[in-house]
Amino acid sequence: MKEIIKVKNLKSYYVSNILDKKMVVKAVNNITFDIYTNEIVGIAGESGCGKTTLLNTLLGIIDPPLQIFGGEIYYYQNEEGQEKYINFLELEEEEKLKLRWKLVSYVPQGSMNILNPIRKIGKIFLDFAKSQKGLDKNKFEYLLNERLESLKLPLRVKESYSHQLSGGMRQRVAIALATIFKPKIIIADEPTTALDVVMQRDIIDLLSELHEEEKNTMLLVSHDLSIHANICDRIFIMYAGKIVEIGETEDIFKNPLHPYTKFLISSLPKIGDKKIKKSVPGKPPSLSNLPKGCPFHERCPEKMDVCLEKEPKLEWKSNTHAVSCFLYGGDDIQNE
Amino acid sequence: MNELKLKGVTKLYKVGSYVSRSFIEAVKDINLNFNLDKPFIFTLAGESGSGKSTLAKLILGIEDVTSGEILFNKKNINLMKKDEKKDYLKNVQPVFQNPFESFNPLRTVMSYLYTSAIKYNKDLNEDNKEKINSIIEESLERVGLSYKEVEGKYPNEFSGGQLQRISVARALIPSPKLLIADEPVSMVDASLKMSIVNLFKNLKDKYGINIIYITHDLATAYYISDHIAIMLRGQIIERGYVENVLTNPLHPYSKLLKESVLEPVPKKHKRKKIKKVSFEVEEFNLPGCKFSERCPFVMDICKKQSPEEIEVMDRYVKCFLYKKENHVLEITQ
Repeated sequence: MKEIIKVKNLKSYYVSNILDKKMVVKAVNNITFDIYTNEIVGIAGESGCGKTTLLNTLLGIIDPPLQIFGGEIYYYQNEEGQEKYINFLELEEEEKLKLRWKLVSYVPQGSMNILNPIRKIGKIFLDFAKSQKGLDKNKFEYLLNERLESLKLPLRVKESYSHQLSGGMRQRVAIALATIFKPKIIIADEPTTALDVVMQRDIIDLLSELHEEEKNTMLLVSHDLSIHANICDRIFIMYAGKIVEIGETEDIFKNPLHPYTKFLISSLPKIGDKKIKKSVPGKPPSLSNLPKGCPFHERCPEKMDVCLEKEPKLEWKSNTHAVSCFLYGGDDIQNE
Repeated sequence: MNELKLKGVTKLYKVGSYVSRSFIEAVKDINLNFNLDKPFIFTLAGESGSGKSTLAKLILGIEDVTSGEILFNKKNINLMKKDEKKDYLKNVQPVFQNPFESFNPLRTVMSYLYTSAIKYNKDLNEDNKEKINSIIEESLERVGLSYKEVEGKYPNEFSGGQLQRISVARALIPSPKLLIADEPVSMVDASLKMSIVNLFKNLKDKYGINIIYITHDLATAYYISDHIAIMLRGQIIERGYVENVLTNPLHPYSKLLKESVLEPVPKKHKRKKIKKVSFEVEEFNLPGCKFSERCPFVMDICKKQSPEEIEVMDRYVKCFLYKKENHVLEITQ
């Protein structure tokens, strides 16, 4: 197992200056993790916990007011036998673009809505091909047909408009667009949200087939843990701009450590189970005004005195399971 | 006795231009009876494009039926006079899918509650501030919020879950008998989903409010509802008690729906692959059973004829597999 993405102390904040009032939203607040080759990692957390910002930062989509305040991102690249780690944040914009779609690819949230309604799907693919320099049209056509086939899309979708396709088909087309060059890493933001059960299942099946065939690495973001249960090897739980728990899927479901994870797992409804389920009390803290101490303490049923004062550090409890919570001992983060 | 009756409700939508006009049966021949005096939660489940939301719009009077009747206390809602219609809408209130879209971002949330309170209480006008406030306070209390938490705030100051609670509170102001909740949790975060679902359960148990819960999420449907109807391309193909239908579905489509549910149990390598459909319009125009293209048990008759509703094993199913002469099939398969 080799690290394919290495992230160290990544910080990216939204900074706005309105009428001399400075506001800093700490959307990605000092995050460190590794992702290994050929694994599927899921990121789970509530809306507004920084999941999408983390992905945008990883992909180098940094538009104001988003700014990077430190940290490093390394991508592993194996080009004709030459292995190297690329320091992504130090690359020029043009070099970043070269990596996109070929090394790392992105299926953004609501990507089934990206398709231009008055252009045929085939034309949309051609537009995409034109944006890539020096790409042969015939070769692209071949790539496209092959990709559509492997995603089990009939070739006639090229002749149809997006409104003639169902939501799930549109999502497939979007995935086909993103993965046409067979990238090593696929990053997908909420790929199943806004789809119904049958389509959700379908997309999850599709992604795992793609993973098996092409031996790529995937990073999936979703707020729905039942998606993660069915496809991911490992799960990162995010809360208020931080990763609060990392573990293998089995461990997260059978032996969750962080009180927040426990709530998430125990509140999942199941067919055949009518027991009362409780959801997480309260609401997530504002990222522009984080409380002192552990960010979860206001909603935590097991809080202790120390939680109000200090912030726990993400620490490894076993080789595969890490948590940031004082219930399991460990140090606090020194305030910078 | 208060009751809502749906008799052969059908809604056609036109598609295409003058040259190639055709019709889609968005909702076809729905027969349902609701006794509004006995609190219930009734789930309408199905894929997108199955006609769930259209049926909700028909009951709410947003769309008119093409044929058939919707009767509230024996009166056809499409033939009601203005006053009667207003009284009907007082009793049947909607909760929509996306709370961020149901509120205007430039209006305070409270102004919606005010407008509703004045609109649905004839004897109130803007001078009766105290009375209005007490009505609003009561309905906010029912959804677990307080007047102070909501006062003077704009929609962007709330989380999705809170906003959805407020839209339920708004719907409760005219003290309705029936709430029609169209996918009320699909835009709400998984962590807050259960709190909204529990709220509906509480409204039924504590305040005796009836709810028609429209969803594709079978897990929450099982959790809160008493009865369920599964819709496919405008028709109800299976209905009955939720325990019967969801733990042991009979119609092949209900089976597919249940199998598709991603269970929150780690089982990465044990999933079965399922068959899917491509172009959805094609399925609407099938002459026989709308599921015949996807059905693993399809027979010749399914492609020619639409199945009748029959009663089997404590529920109603529309499928030829369960007809008397074909009954053997079910057992052998």
